[in-house]
Order: sequence, then C-alpha cells, then structure tokens
Amino acid sequence: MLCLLLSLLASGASGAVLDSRTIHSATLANGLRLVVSEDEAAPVVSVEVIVRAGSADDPPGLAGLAHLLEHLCWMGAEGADPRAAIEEVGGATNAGTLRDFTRFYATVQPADLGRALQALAAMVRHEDFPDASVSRERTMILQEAATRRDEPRAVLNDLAFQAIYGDSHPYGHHIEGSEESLAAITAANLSSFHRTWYVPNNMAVVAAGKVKFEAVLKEAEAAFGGLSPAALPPRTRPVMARPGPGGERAEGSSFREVYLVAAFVAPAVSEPAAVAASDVMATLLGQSQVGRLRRDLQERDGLVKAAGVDFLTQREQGLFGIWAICDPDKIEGVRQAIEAELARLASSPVPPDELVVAKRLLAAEYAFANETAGDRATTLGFYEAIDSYRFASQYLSLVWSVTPGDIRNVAAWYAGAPMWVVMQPSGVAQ
Amino acid sequence: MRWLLTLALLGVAGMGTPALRGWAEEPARVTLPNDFRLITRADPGTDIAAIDLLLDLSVLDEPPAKSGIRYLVQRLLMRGTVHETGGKMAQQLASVGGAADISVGLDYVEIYALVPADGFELALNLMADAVRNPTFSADEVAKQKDQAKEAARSALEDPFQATYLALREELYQTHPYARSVFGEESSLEAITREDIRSFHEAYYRPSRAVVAVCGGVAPTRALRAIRAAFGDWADRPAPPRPEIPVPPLASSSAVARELPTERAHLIFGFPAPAAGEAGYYEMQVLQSLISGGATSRLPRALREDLGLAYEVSSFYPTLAGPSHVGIYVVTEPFAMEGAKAAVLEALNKLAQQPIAPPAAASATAADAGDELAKAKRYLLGSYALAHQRMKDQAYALAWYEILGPTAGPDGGGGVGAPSSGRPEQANPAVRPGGLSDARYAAGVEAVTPAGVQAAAASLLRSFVLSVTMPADL
Repeated sequence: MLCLLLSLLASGASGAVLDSRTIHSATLANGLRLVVSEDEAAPVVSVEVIVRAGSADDPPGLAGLAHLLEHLCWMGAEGADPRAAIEEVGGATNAGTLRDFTRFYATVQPADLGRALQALAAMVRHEDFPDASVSRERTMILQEAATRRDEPRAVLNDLAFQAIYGDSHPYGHHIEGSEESLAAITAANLSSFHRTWYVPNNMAVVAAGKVKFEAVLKEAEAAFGGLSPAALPPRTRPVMARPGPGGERAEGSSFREVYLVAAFVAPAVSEPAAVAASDVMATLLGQSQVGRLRRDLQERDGLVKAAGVDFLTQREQGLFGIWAICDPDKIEGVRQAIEAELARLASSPVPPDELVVAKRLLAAEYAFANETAGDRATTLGFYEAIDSYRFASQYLSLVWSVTPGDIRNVAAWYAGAPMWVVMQPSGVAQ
Repeated sequence: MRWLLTLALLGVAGMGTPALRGWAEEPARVTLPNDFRLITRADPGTDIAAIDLLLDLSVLDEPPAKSGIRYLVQRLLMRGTVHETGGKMAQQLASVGGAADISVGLDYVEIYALVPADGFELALNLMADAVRNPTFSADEVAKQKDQAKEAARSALEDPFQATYLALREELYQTHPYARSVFGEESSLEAITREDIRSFHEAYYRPSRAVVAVCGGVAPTRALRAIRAAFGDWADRPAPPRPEIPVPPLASSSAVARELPTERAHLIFGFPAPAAGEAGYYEMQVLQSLISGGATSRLPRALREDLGLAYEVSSFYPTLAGPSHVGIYVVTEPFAMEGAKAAVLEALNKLAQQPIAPPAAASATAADAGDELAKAKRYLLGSYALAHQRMKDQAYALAWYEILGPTAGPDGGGGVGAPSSGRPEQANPAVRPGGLSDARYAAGVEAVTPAGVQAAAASLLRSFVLSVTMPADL
C-alpha cells in the first residue's frame, strides 16, 4: 500500500500547472498590477482586465450597480464599440461581474495583443452613461435574470447566499439586483462608482499565452499608463462566525424536483490551508463518479438523483454548500444522510487511499480547468483579484499537503447545524 | 478553489481566434487489420491526454419502436463488464485522476476520457473493456432505463431542447433526424435487456469504430496501447443502414408549444447542406455574418437597434445527412413578433443586397472594413478556439474520420467489407476528401459575396419556425 501511495503522490505532483517560473509580474507607476504567463506553445493570447470591485461593493439600496456598469462599459458607445475591434480580427470578448470583482477579457492572435489591450482599456475607461443606454441595459439585465430563474441550481445558490448572509453582509444580495434596485440607479450613481473603483491602483491586467512579458509591459503602459490613481475608500464588512447562522428556509418553485442545500460559511482566501482542505473535502464528498454522496446517497441508498458540493473561494468567507436533487418524499432522509456524512468526516479519519484518490482527482481537475490560455488568464486574474496570482501556482502543493487531521478539523466546522434551504415544487399536494 | 470551470461558464469563457497554423503536430492515422481506425495528434506541451472513441452508429440504425436504444447502450457501457463492476471501473479511473463520459449524436455515439497522461493506458483499457465486454446486468438495465427516461422527460421540459426537437420533427418529418437522441419514455420502456444485448452485438464492431488520442502521449505509445486493447477485437459486418429520404419541405410552417418558462424561445430552422457538400462553407459564413459575435448583424439589429432580445445565436450542425441552420432567439413574449420580423429582414437583406463593399473599397478586400472578411475571420477564430482543448481536438479528428470523404446522406461511414488477414496500414495524415482543420479554413476562405447571397436566398425558400412560450398568453 505504501509503495502505491508514494508512486501516486510522485506522479500526481509532477505535472506543474501554472508553473511559477513562467509567470512574471510588475506594478506600473500608477499602481496597475500586471501578471503575465508565458507559453510559447499556445496558439493565442488571452488578456483579462480585472477591476477589484464587484456586486459586494454595490451602494446600499442600489444592488446590481456593479453589474449594470460592466454591461455599459463592455458595450462601449455609439460609433466607438471596443468589441468590434476584437471581433473583426477573429477574436472573442466577454465580461463578467462576481461578488468581489469585475472582469473584461478577450482572446486574440498573438499579433493582436496591442489591439486587444487597447480595446479592453477603452471598456474600463468608458464613462459616458446616457439615459437611453442605461435603460436599455437595465431591460437586458432583467431578461438575463429571468433566464437565470429557469435554472434551478442557480436559483438554489442565490437562495443559499441570501440565507447565510442576509442583509448584514454584501455577499447576500443578488449580483443582478432586483427590478426596484435597478430602477433606482442613476447615471450619477454609475459615474460615482466608476470614479471610485475603476482606477489603475484597483486594477490588474493579466495575459496568458504566446506572449513575452516585456511586450505585454510595453503595450499595457501604452493602453493603461495614462490612467490616474486615486485613494480607495476603506471597506468595512462584518466577519461571519463559523459554521454560519444555521436554520431552515423553504421556498416554492416551478421545478419538478426538490432541490436542497446545506450551506455553511467557508474559509476566505486568506486561510489557504483551510481552503485546500475544504476543496479536498468537497472532492471526497461531491466528486461526480466516486464521491461519498454519489456512492452512498445515490448508488447505495437511492435517496438522491444527483448531489454535489459547491465551494467558490472568495476574498472574504464564501459559501460551502452540499446540494442534492431528490423526490419530495425523500427530503427528510436526504437531510439526515448529509448530516451523517459530515459527522462521519468530523469523527473518523479518512482512509489514506481514499484521501490520495481525492487529491489526485482534484489535481487533475485543476489541470483540466487550466488547459487553455484563456483558462490560465482566468485563474491568474481570479486570484490576483481576491488575493495574489501566486496562489494559483501554490495551490497544488497546498492540496498535496492536506492531512487526514486537516480534513477532520474542517469537517468539524461543517458538522455544526447547517442552514438548510429546500426548494419544493409549489404544486405538490401536502 | 475547485470551481473555475463554473466561473468560466458564468462568463461564457472565451471564444474565437484564427490560429490554425499554430497547432501541434499533424495527426497520424492507422487502420488495424480488423479495420479499427485510430488517429493521434501528440502535443508534447501538455500533461493531459484525451481519448475519444466514436462509433459510426446513426439514429437511422435504431428501430423506430426502440428509439433511444443507442443512448441506453452507451449509458450502460461503464456500468459493468465481464471483468469489473461499474463501481470498480469508476474507482480505477479516479485513481489516476481521470474522468469519462458518453454522448449520443444523430450520426454517432461517443465515449471519451480525459486523463493525466500517465494514466493513459489505464483509461484506454477501461474504455476498450466497456465498449467490448459490457454485461448489461438486469439491475443496471433497470436503473439506467429509469435515468434515460428521466433524461428524455427533462429534455422536453428544457425550453431550448423542446423547441429544437419540435423544429426537427417538422423539418425531417418521417426521417429519423426528427427523433430525440434520448428516445421517448414509451420507446425506452419497450426496450428489453435482450434488445440491448443484440443491438450491441450487431453494431459495436471494430470497423465501425474510430479512436482519437490527443495530448501528452507519443504516437508510438498510443499505437502500442491501442493495438493491445483493440487489435484482437473480431470484426463482422453490421446490418446495412436503411436509406430514408428527407421529405422536401413544401412550404414554410410554424409550430408552437407551451412550457412554464418566463420567456419566449424561438428557433428558425432552414434546410442546409450536409457536411462538406456544395454550399456548406457558404452557409457557415452566412451564419457568422448573421450572428457570429456580439457585433454581427442580428445581435446589433435586435439588441441595440430594437432593444429586443437578450440572446441571439445560430447553429449549423455538421451532419452526415441533410443538415439545417438554426437561428435561436430568446425574448420577452410581447416582443416575439418584432424579433421574427428582424430575423427575416436580416436574411432578406443578405439575399437581395450583395455584401461586397462599394467598388472603391473592394480593392482592399482584406481590410478590416470588409464585412465578409470580418465574418470569415470571426468564423475561423471561433473554430480555432472551439478546438483548443485536447478533448475537442480528439472529437473533431474522430468525427471527421467517420464522416469520411463523401458526406452523402448515407453517412459516408462505410469502410468496406471486413478484411481479415490484411496487414496494419498507415494512412495519409488527413483522409483524402475528408474534412480537416486546414480544409475547413480553405473552404471558408474561398466563399464569395455571390455565394453568400445565394445561400441566403436558398434559406428563405422554405423554413420552419418553432416557438415555445409561457402558457398564460
């Protein structure tokens, strides 16, 4: 057994993902961070501009502002559409808003690096918000939100965030906002948010693919060097107590099945060892083929139709959610079974071979998730936004050093009373 | 941070860039003596290996009363063989960090694995065992039947899938492309364990199979492992594929259905050429002009000029038989008529007005101001980005191999009678006359303004509009 373990460990650790030796960084005079991952073999270059402000920075009562601003910036203005500059050379571009940050990104041929950075710079410099554009994008966002309401897992996730964070923490409100909060947003609100957060000392430019650091530095200076820094306002947010508030929320839904989740407060990115242990635990429980939820709840007991674990690391404490899909008559059984799985992880050590397999799966998943230049720019940008890009290169070694004791410690937090959110078909007979 | 993939999905991870010339080594193609074909493209720069095994097994091969039998058989492959239980197979794959799954298309069935390269042989052997020796235990058959019925039911509740299926029913009528690849609840229910065994026995044959391997595995290593895993698989002719014509679409028509969704889902469907047939590339370029990227004609017209729909996209499946172009619009129910008019107007404009710029500008056809050149660049860019991943490269190689040199209505997958005793054969890197990355690029480049105009006119001749909307309207 020991030999087998050693060989698995050795081979599992050999594949470097986001090798720190290929990654370079710098800070421009105006405070803009620059991160470059060089990969001679990549056919393309992906660039990403991160603004370290997301929906958690929406002003009180104006939920959805960060996301609305992202739409307006990405679309550009009449006659000056930065998207066209990218698409007309065969590139692709998109943008996204998360709780902690906003991202604008593009993938182009290496020769078009300068063009892509200019286009992304035009997006984040955009500061003209005519009423007609604001009202059009508000409509678009309401439609986007309507589509999201047709996706049960997305709805469940939103409900869990709301249940855990409520009104006391800005992670609690929807990224899209509501019809009311969107209606309250004015051009002046958008300008003020833009002036406050879209400043170079609150931004990062990330490039990955067939590029050289020096070339990116030169092009980034040209595109972003003229931006002026400004002092950032302090952020004061409540620290959540683990395992979280606990409790129970029942919601009606138009979906045919029951969707439920046990939600807890998870470690923040500033606790890297706990993040890695939580990720390994999430794999042990929720891996789609061999995880304990699949093996015990689905295959052995026939309790669930599907089950898994969601955990996205965030700047502050995120959410660790164990979700399941089941028939209405199984709800009680599923809840007990999930709590029993957690109690077992907290009380008895994970067998070493099971732990090694979970780590290997997690490491492989990380490699698969960072296969393309675009993937790597996304990962580096993600960590640079919430902490430092260095986290991406250190991540696998953190995973490999997780011990059975670490898993038990993390599981002990989660063995406390969860916040249960249960979404049931509204039409079900009582 | 396990959920980067989720993050990528949230933001619609990157798309398009023309980079065909930057790709790794040319593929190596080999046919084993039992007519099993393999194709590899090594990429020394990655530690990931993708293995994609496609069988030339069409929806035309399914008895109509047993619709969905291919899906059910595929689901059962990794659920136990004469050597291992399903649980053990999953454990073994997990022990090397691998992941496997299946899919079913109109023209083929697929089983694939993604694995760190040092687990390549283990994953390949598991796949070979799954395809060659499944036991179809009564217990698993019952379980997978339930889950397949669930998938068939869910598809009818998903707005896009339901709208698309209704569209195909109207476009293809009596042709099997009208059917769902999942089958129907009733046809799945009618399938017995014996049906499954005999279907597998008849159709899962080496001469119908292609495996493609891409990534961090040297061609010699891949070939050695594939010979060992598939070389002794005995071939035998599979039953002939029935020839079923697609009834011509006499006139345009519309179908509508109701679902409890918040928004209206519309798909315009137009008959279009099979892969590689005359007009194939013109249709590809046309589709890019209409809805390739946020700044193409239709998104601009709908979203920015009319403020109408949030989602506009189009698709053109690469099929062995007669294909179709779909234009998909999601909108508020009240805005449906405006969206319909905008789609038809965009096509009418393309059919009536040549897209070549005015004479003065046409001298610089490669200039960024040329809309046709932009559409081509966007199309090739999207193609390249869609083929960045090892899995997607392996799929394309295997699928082009099965499509074969003549992409006619018969599927073009026939590779002749079994040839026992014939030695192993190394083939040209790209199948003569078949689709390939380079040929796709050349085909797209050669499209002319007149070709696009003719393609637009041909679409308008007759089409089907399929609509799904909330019931309370």
